[in-house]
Amino acid sequence: MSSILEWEENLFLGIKALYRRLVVSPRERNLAAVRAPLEPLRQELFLLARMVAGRSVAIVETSQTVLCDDEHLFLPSGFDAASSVEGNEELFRIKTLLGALAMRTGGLHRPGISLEDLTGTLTAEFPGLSERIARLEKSLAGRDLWTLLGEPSCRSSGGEVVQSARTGETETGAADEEITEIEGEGRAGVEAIEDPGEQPVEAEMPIHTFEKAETLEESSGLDRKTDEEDELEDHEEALRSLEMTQVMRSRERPRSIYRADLVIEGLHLEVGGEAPSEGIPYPEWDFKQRRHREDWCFVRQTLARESDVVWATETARKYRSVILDLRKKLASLATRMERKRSQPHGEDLDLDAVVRALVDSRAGQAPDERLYVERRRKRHDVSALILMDLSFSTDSWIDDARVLDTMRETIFCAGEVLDEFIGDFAVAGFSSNTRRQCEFHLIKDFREDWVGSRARLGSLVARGYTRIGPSLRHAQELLVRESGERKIVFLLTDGRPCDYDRYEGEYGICDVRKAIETGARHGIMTHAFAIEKRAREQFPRMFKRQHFDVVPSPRAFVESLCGAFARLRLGT
Amino acid sequence: MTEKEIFYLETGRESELFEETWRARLPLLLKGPTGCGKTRFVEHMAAKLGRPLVTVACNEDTSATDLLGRHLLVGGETVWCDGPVTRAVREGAILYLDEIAEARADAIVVIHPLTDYRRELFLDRTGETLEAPAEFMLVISYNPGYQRSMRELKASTRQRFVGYTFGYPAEEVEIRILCGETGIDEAIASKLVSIARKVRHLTELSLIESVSTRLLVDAAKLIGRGLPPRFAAAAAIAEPLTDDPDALKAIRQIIDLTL
Repeated sequence: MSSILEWEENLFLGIKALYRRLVVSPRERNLAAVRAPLEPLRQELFLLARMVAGRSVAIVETSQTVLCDDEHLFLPSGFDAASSVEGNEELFRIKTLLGALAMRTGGLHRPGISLEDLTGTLTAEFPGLSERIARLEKSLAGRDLWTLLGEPSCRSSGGEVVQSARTGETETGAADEEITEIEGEGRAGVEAIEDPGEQPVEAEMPIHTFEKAETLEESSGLDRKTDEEDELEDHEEALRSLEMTQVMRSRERPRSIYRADLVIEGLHLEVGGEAPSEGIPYPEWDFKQRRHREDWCFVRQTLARESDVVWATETARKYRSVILDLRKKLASLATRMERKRSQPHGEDLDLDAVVRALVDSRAGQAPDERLYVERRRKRHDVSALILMDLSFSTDSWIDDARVLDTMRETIFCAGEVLDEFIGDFAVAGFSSNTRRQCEFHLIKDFREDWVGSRARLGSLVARGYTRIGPSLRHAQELLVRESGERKIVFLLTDGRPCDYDRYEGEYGICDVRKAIETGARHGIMTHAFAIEKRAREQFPRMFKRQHFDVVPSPRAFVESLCGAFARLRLGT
Repeated sequence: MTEKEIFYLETGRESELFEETWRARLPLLLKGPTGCGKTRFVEHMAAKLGRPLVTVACNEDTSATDLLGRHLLVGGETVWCDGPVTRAVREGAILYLDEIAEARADAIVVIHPLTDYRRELFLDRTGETLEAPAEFMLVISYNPGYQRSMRELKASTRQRFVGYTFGYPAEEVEIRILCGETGIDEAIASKLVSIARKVRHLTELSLIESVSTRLLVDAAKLIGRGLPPRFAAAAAIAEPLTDDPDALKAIRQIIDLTL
């Protein structure tokens, strides 16, 4: 790069680097040495704020010097105003405390009264506070504490705040990956028209997106800049009144998603061509013909290689309490009772042993003292395969969290615990791109070590469609070879079966149901977990009652997984 | 059993309910979070009614055998030894099965005949049927929020009982309980209660079991014995509640600021 620069530029860059090293850096180094970052303190501060405020509080990372608004506590990514790390950490705590107090129900803050005056009224409740503030002010080297903390803001939270809260929560997805999603009303009789500039199906990944043929401006008069920007929220109102009558397929990756159920006419999605040479063939159920289409889908199994250790460490930290909770609950469920005879202690006498002992003692021999029957806990002999949906739809956001992130964090928590209670389990992801390309992405094989493979969850990316049937059949095939007394597939998905070549609606649902029934006949149970609330409509048609749960978060998953285990134990 | 009256501060009309349930020979189900005074209440009522109290703390290994009794081997002979439930029925005591939902299913089933009009206990191992005397009363407790969704008491069991729910006492009542229980001065007691009320906000996040009155009593006892208040509160309130380092730090902050 530098070779193409002019010599003057090189000289300038050299001098600039020197200046930075000699003049700027030492100053930055000093600041860096005392800087207290927000991240390690975040959870502690959140809990502190929650306790003091007495209601739900969200921490938002921002460089603005605002204290709080009605719901958010604003904190910088780091403080370096105080002369020591401890002082800067204290700055975080005091800001959190005062912010939470200002947010407290009833509200301490009234316009015209400064924060400084307010803290004076708190001595009865927090006698330690004024002393700590005084100590903190001394370490600030002349800077005004109250300016550093900022004032409470009266405005309510806008869209911008929500965005930054999002990026703060999930470090995995970059900001420009964000997709706004709006639920639209369904509509039947939609016509699909060909985009003149668009080539028909190509070998590369087809994306199931449609752009409304009539543009939004025409519909509402709003000025729309470019397609690349995520401005769906601005257009929400306009969209609500949108008549979706014509749609067009587009290959571009969506920035915004307007999701609606459409019954589309005149669309040819069937992909022709010969069967591929590679992949394991599986049948698929055709509900209209009431028969299996033999060797219809082709599954390719790959093993995940890439891993993200930072993600794994971070997730382990973030969900520490969930994992502990899950472990505690599964401890009693994942084991079963077993009667052991001839034990030195126990609940009941082992009559055979008693008779033997009496005979022995009458015969003048030393009797065996192990006379009891004891009931002991034994690990369940279970083989489990966790199967997760990796399709593109998992790249969308539900309740400020990306579905894919929620799913892999959920699986991470489950894996941490299953590793301890059922040694024999595997984790895999699935996606598809027509029946000829079903991907079965093995994340942890049955024999692999969990700790060694868990970080692979961090490097997963969303792709393709949701053809549940073939991957379920392949998972069953893998489980059949396992030795567990009970076998179960835990399926995590965000919605409904769908694939590019008409694997949707009734067809997909029936195929999934058939695959589950077939598995059940071979003693393989399927329990599904849905992330999305909408799944409540689809799931009952695919899975029997009690064999699916709709879980909004990893924490809710704990309850569901325990329930699934309880039922597994009862054999229902 | 202690003869002297046991300190208990009424939070609702529980004493009245208990007494009438006892007279009507009905079994009683007490619900409420851990450490809210269920056990203390039963002790108090047993003393008030002048009945002996038999308490069994149930856990997931508690079986029918543990409750009814078992044969022991003594000098080549088998000898029957009564379990706590059998003993309570024979003595006409008040039988308190704490955290009954934790016990194994067979243990819960053996108490069924005691809970309906029969008021009988059948000992299958000895072939004996005991009829409960009029003074006998069965009280069970369980904590509905604890280990949700897996250890629920079955409807067929619950519906045999008269029920009462305990909550955490109101602020003033809780302060009076701390003073009455430990003799600590009211200023400290009200600060401990103020800490507890803040920490209880965390329960909604299901991070921790909530601060029980029992923990506050423990903290007050330690402070009463001369330990520095912050140290005592951290040891008696923060540490038993959670192992989560962030939650611990946050709770300590509240303690340090308040005391």
